[in-house]
Amino acid sequence: MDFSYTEEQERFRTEVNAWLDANVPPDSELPPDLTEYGELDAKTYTLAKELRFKLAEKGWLHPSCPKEYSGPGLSFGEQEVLLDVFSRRRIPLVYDAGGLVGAGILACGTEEQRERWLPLIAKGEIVCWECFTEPEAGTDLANVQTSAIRQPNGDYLLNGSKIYSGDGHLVDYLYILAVTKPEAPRHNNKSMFLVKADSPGISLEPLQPLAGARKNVMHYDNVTVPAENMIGRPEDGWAVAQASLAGERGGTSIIEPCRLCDELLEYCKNTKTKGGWLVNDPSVRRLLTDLYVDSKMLRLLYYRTFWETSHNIYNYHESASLFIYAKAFHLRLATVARQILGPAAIVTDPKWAALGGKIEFSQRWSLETHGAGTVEASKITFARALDLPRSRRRQ
Amino acid sequence: MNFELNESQKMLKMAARGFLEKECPKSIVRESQASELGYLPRLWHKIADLGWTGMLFPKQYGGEGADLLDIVPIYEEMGRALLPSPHLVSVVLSGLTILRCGGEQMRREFVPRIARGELVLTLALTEPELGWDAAQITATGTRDEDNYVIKGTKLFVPYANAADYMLVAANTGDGTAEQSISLFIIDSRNSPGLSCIPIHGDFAEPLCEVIFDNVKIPKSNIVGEINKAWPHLKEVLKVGTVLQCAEVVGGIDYVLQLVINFSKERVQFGQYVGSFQRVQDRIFNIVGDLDKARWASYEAAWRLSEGLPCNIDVSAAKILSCVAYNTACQEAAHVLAGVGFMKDFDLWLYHKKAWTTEHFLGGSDFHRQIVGRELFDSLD
Repeated sequence: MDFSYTEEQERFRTEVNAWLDANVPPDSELPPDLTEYGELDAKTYTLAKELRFKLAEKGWLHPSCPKEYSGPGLSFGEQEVLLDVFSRRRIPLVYDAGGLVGAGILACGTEEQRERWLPLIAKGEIVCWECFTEPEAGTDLANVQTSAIRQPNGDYLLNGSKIYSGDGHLVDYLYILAVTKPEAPRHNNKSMFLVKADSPGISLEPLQPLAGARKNVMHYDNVTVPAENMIGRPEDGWAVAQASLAGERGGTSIIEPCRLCDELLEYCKNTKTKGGWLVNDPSVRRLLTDLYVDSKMLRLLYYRTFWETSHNIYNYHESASLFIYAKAFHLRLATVARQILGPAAIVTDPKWAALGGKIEFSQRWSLETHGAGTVEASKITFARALDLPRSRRRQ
Repeated sequence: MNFELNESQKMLKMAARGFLEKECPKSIVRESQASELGYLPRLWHKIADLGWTGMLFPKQYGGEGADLLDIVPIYEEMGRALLPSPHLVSVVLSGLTILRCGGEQMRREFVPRIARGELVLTLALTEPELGWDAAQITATGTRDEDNYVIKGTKLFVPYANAADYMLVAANTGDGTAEQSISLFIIDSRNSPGLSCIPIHGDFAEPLCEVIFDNVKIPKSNIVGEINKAWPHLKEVLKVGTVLQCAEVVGGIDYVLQLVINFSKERVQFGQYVGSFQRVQDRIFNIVGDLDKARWASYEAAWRLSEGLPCNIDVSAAKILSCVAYNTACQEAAHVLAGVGFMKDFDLWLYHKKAWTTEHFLGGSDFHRQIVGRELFDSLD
């Protein structure tokens, strides 16, 4: 066992920081409240786009992509360091789900598909977004209704709707799961496609989530998709979707609340009330101590799962449990912050908001508990991974 | 980073599991707990033959010089099997203390025999005030020419009834508590004025009240220097805490298996109870807590073994494992229902162990205070 970074990884961290110092303008940090960004803060978006090309040129855009497909082929440790630095510095990446799409292509794509798509993604020439969820296919993803029916000329004709697609309005390609063989059982009736986002017949309606970062409803009305844009083989869509989700190493967003926890602790350490230092109040101290221990464990378990995945060790019940823990922690952090700071935790007015509004933002963000599947769905994954008995299907 | 036991640690773990499954079934656990000593000397000597009592000591004192991380997997297996043994109090808390601060002559006299399992020692530290810091120690040692006279009562001392010698912590100075604690090594069978009263109850291990009524001890029995024991003891207590956490992790792991197996066999309403999501929730809670307890313990053990600052890590591991063990047993009680509250069912043995370990080496409130001090008191 070893819980430390090697000297080599520390050197890599220095290299990444130095590169960012030289290539990212100092004022390009993400604002604490992503709402502005979500509503297409043009400056941030342009910046992110420029940065994407710079990162791609450096080879760091998709750190997990192997060398033979123009990726950097970074080791586990280097990937971790890279994502950690990006997250610490709040680098405004337009996170383009390339990791998720790339993982699916790498796992299930034909050699031809990998050679065609992976370099484009790794070099930042195209940005993709995943479109799986539908109004009637949330937790029950296999219930996808959007259809892509093969036409006599070999093209597919796409019809249906997707919902909660983030960044769908910004990207080049949509990664769409659609039914291609309606008469087949539902786990064998779908295929995956990369569809050009500006194809005729695609229309969008914006949605406004609690914590900003616009989402979309998408409608597909007789959209023509060339057969060569399929990912994996016909009717392999369910497996491709699973591989994509399993390979999602979207970086450090699930431990983002740990950083806020650190800031909250610092804030309380440096805040005096009429009764003296805030942290000398025994009840405040107890709340913060427990929160800190939880935060420490979330980080540790995150690193554990990340390390295992990078070494092809898959303990799905642990990763399901980690997701649930992360969500519970975020909610607890928000609650503890409200208990300790009172209204300063819920106002946005810069005159009174604690930590420049970061705490207030976290109140809203922590309520987005659905990310990567609901807690209930994760618990089903958990139970199946542990091979617990399955309930009889209701007739 | 590396989140795995190494090959030799994995082999040690497997070997320990195999040995204990054969030598320490639950019938042996029950027999040990009902016995006068609280453990079975014949099993204790087998453990010594395997090298478990000696591995942490350096070669020149009859040990193997093993790393702390090498014994962690063995402690997990001891916890899983609920092996009743004075290993923690004798080898770890007493042996390592003598090794750390005892003089050369004392080390040579005691450590090799502890390492071979020939001598059993215990640490008489806690008192009726209950606590694990220096300030709770009110037993006194008063200088009387070439002797010290010890007066006071030590309470809930594990295995004092079985120990050949005890390390007794007493206040001997007039500075702060931490600068006034001395340790004495006392022959627990032949010291006039010393009485050991086993406490009644159904515990995982024997607990005793030990009364020192003006027990006269030659000053050559001071372990290390007068008034300077506490800083050493504090370090050894950390080692003990981490190993106890590993023991807890093994125990929870067993309880989890018990619950999972039951949930796959017990049928109600025509289906396995493990298919009910409320039951799965309880299994989920055990797994989540176990995961935290395990990795907190591993990280703390690793930091300790690397000589890195680890006060927060050790205390966090203790807080999490204390809570996790008890929660796991409670969740198991819910799932196992009818069989869960039968005394001859194994779960009761784990409840008992969870209760004893919860307090021993400091409960979660004590350790939460340590974390709080480490986090916040630097600003004073």
